[in-house]
Amino acid sequence: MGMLGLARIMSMKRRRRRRRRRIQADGSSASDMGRKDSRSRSGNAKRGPHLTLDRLPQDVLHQIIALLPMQDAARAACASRELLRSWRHYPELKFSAKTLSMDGQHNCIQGQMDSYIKRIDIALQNHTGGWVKRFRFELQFFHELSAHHINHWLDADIPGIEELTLELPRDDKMKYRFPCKLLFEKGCSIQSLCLYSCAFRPDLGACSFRNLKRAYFSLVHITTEELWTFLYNSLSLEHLELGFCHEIDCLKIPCTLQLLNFLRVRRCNLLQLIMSDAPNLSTFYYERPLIQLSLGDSLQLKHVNISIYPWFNLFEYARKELPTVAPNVETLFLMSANEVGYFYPLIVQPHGRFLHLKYLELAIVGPRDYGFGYQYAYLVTFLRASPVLETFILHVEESAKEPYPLVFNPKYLKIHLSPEHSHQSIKHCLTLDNRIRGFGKDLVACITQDTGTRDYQEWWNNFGVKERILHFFRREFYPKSDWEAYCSYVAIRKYIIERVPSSVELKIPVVPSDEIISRLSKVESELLKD
Amino acid sequence: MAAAAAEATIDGGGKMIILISADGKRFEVTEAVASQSQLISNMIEDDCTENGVRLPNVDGDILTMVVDYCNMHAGDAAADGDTTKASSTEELKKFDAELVQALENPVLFKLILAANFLNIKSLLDMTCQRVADMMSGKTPEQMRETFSIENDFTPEEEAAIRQENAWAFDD
Repeated sequence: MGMLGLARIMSMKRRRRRRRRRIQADGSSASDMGRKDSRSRSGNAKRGPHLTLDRLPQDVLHQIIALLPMQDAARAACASRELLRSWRHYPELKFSAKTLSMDGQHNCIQGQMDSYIKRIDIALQNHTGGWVKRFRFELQFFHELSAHHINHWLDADIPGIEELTLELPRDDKMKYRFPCKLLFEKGCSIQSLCLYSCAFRPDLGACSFRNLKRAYFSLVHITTEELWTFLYNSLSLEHLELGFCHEIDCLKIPCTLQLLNFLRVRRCNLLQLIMSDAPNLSTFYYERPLIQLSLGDSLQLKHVNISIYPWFNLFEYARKELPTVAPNVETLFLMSANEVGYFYPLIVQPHGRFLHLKYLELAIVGPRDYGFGYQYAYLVTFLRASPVLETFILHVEESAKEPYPLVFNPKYLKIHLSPEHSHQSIKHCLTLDNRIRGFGKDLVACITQDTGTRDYQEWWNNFGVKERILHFFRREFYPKSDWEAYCSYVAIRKYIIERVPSSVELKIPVVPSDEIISRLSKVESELLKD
Repeated sequence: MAAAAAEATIDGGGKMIILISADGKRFEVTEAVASQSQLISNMIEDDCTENGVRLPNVDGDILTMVVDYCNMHAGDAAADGDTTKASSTEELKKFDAELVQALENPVLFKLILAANFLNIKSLLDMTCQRVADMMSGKTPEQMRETFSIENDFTPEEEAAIRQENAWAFDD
């Protein structure tokens, strides 16, 4: 027997499967293709002259309804029986204050509890058959719920379920323990698990999370050891988020989590150490106080976002450590409450560089005392360490008292660039606020060019020294802020703009009015004459 | 055997297939184009396309659209290597949008039926999405009107389902 004969035998099975369709294609037996999947329908009684939406084959109608947002699908269910049937096959089932039609305050009065529970029971019964892939129990308001009910609902849900969300009241009176064994003993189909305010205690060796791709735990009681057990048994995990899990003191991620690419850790109060050996981690988010981070020097780590607000002093750490922790980082966001002056004398240490950093966004949030405040000089070391930077955004929340315009003090620039540091003389150096975007390597280039700096220095000495013009202001009643705005404006116009390439967007934060510009430019020219 | 042997040597695009619509219109397409229909792809494998493929459920005007769509998307499946032949993604999106935007409901539904029958997943997905987009944001009454849906509920049934889904009418 030749290969063709063998191929024919092999295709026989396939052919039997397709027999029905093929017969229809030949036109010999398919009398009404619109009916072909309507096994449960009552003949042709409803088939009128026009083809209408609810006369489409059931599986097609299910597909259409499944494409609708849940609210639209629920409304469609009220249009006709066929559409109601499709609604019963909707792949998502959600119980929330909204879908249970609770009042605006989401009050759950004692007597109503039973009716809500009953409605959930009925809805679950109406959706049996394994159609529902996504179950969302958003029951934060359900203070009197018992574990028995939840277990009963979860037990009913299991077949074919892909996503499960369980949100319980934050007060945690119930002390609900998620039934790991019930759902994961045999390794179920759940791919995404989102838990809020309950305990998650996987038993060693009893549960397999092998299908789980995404896990979100918030306010979840889980210990360091339990978390390790969980992670160790979740080999498909791609996305992990932990928030407010206050029993964890150490997060260790085994190297066997080859697929893990996203890690977000938020406000876990006791956490002291994050140690990840996941080789393909590419995105890392972290919130709250600075702790020891060891991310396996992951070469894949491209996106880092760290916010230690309301704690302060993050930038120095980031500048020193991140080039090692995340050598290939491309986008970096850092936020703190303040960056105070621990950086003096300013020694430009040979820290590692961010050789791939393209996007840098820094934020300093909250009221600060500018007199004591961080000298923005340090930012320049970031810029200088990032040779391919394309976008630099600095957010500095302005103090409530007065807006700070952009002010460059060339003294700083000179000091920064020369080996001798006389840090006592450094004053207010550089303020960009959130109205400035688009600075990048070009800014560094333009403020570090010797000629630019020298010209600027000269101009500043002639005009920018406050004492020389103070009497002008006394005489002319110009407020100090006008003068500062004018200085910044002129400095930018004269020494920055022409050195910024056209590809870089430069916005001037405080542009003085035309009148002030013209008056002060006269003052300037008078001063320069002296 | 000869036909099967010939088939085995074909690299997927050369051989032509005749599709015959319900009203007898004939469309000549390459195997590669026709194979986007899983139904026809199976028939090609099973070697029963020699005398043309009769599609008694698909009218000529609908089949014209289907063939246009398949011709346009023929690059998709083979996009791995041959990128020059494949239409650009932008072009395809524009073509797809124009194809479904202008259709009257009965024609759109017929196209859905054809896509479902011929088992062309991408066309079915796209046409279903079009209907879903048209339903979105409408009340049940507006849906009935837009799609000529007959309200076959008894008053009691309708009240019950409206009660059950009352949350969906909040805004």
